[in-house]
Amino acid sequence: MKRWRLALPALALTLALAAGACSDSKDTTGGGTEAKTVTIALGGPFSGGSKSTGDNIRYGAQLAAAEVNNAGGIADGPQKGAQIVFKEFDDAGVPANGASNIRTIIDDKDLVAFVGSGLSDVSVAMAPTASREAFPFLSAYASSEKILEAAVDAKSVFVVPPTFPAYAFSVTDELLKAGYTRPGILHATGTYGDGIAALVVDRLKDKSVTPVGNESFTFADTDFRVQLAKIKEATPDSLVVVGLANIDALILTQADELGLKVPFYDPGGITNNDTFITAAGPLAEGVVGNTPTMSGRDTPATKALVDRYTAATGQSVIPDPAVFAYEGVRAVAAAFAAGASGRADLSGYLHQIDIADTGVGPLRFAEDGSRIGGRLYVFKITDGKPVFFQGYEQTGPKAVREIPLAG
Amino acid sequence: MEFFLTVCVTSLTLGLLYSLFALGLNLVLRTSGQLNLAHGDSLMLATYVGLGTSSVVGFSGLAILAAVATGAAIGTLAHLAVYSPVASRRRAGMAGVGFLPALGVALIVRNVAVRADPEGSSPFPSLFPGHPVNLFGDYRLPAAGWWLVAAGIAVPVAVALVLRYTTVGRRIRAVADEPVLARLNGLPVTRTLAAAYALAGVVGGLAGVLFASFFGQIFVALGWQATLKGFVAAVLGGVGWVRGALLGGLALGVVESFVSGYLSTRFRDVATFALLIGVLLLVPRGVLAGGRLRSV
Repeated sequence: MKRWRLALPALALTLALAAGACSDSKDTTGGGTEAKTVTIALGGPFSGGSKSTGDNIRYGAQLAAAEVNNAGGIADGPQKGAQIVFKEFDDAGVPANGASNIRTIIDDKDLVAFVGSGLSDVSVAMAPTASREAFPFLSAYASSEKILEAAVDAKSVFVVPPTFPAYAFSVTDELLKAGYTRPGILHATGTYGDGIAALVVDRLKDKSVTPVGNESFTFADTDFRVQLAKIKEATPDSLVVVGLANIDALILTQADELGLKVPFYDPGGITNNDTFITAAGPLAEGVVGNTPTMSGRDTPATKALVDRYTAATGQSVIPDPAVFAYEGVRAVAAAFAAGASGRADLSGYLHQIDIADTGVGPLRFAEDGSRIGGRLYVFKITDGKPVFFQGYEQTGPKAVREIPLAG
Repeated sequence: MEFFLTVCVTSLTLGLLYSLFALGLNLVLRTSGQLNLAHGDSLMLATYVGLGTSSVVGFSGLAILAAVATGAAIGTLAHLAVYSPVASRRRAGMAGVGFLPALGVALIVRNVAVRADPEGSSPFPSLFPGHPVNLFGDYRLPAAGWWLVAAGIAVPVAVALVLRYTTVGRRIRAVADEPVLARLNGLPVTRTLAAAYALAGVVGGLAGVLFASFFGQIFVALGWQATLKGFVAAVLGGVGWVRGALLGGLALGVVESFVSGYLSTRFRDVATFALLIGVLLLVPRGVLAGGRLRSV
């Protein structure tokens, strides 16, 4: 009897393992080589519903590592010539997994820094431990300002993309410039949705505009008719939606079915995306959104980055998670080249790096770990493609300024 | 008024979907005593098969058939290859682990779907003919919505008729009521249970394509959501093969929609699960389906 008492759970566990459902870590770059190496912990949702984000983080990081390694390794400093390798940590998009992973990562003395995390909730769960242990932590893609606020000890936490205020303010400013004064807001709950929606409300209030409705949903929802009907009753002149690509497409469709036909604004940076444009179809026309990575940005660094990415993956548009993971690894390589010897002094050097143009723009960090001069480009979807019309630059933790598209 | 009517229509459409999810779970739960945690993931994968068939052959009817057949096949296969052999080796003291094989099957099915759709979601064409029809004000209900309402009523009625008037239906009820007696009387219990899983898979496959056609998308996460919503609806509805699922699903749709509309979306799950706990504590057989244990 005892034998079978153990056998059933064992069978289920075996099935679960066979399904690849467990969070795990693995060396993806052939660890064990005899060459001098610096090993970076690469984190993200490599399984689960956000797996594509994790895959993109991996592609971007590997692209940067290949670039550094093919040029002979770390360019200068005590680690000169070292090859960059990765050890992957899957968080499956679950904050608890991230919190557990960062403990494991810090305990592994071979790991010099963390690059990754696709969701702000995950980065927020990891950042306090990284800060407490003064461990270099670069959040790629996850961009809530709460990640930096959670890092209350050592200044070892960095957010590579522009932070939420820049996302929220750039699109809100465009909505106000277009003359809308009665926006409705429909947003996801959680760090991302609640965070950006609150910043949109703050920005509107700064201009004496109050949203006529502010409704929420969870990422598990598929029916938004009740929230949209509630907003529609308040007769909005525009609709701000903070969701994900497939959810925003659903919301557009259901708003259309309800007869809510107002301009649609996306401050979350997610509609510059084939998934959204395909799913929304003709309803995507006229949607105003933003993205930190303007396709067709006319600089040598951008062209070189796009060429390398296309050669490696066959894709012509670099997804945002790939871009920021790429920049995160480039930042670590630059800090080592500037003189860092290991994890203990890496954060100090990361605060000093100044890359003129990674392909996205200049990369340097402020004292609080936010990116200085992070850029966002605002577009309107026209004929099924984003047409860019205004650039913004983050000038402080909660400040942006308009910049021209070129440059 | 338009807002109130919108909430009512949302209650109805969501409620009927939840009813169909619950109906598949109820069929297996009543027959085998097992909560089939793989039900939602099976119907999700079946819906992906429907999507693939639609894109290859371009014929909606065949795509719906493919989804329904896949739902039935997964259920039958899982029962014959996993649940039945495991159950036959089960010994005393192992009652608490009966759900684990279904959990394992759910994870395998989900990972197959992830391989098929690494993005986690795909646009889904409406497989049901027709055009949106104006209901009131500006509100247009798409064709799939009308089919959903029709199927949400017709399918439970059809299942009830199958259970009451067909040989396989009577066997399913006999096995559910007295499995030992059914076996002693020579009924093929394993085959009958397989038929129950197949019937649940048929209902699940149809529910999946209705869901995806109505919302215009299919996504991997639907699997767990369908299991969870179906389970809550089944518990709310309580006893009864069909009536419990139908009334429980509608009750869940009404609670979710009215709490979202008149309180806040943030209270929706709190209200739902508070109601569920209340039902389990006060009327564990289900508040809506009455007291008869053997009702159809």
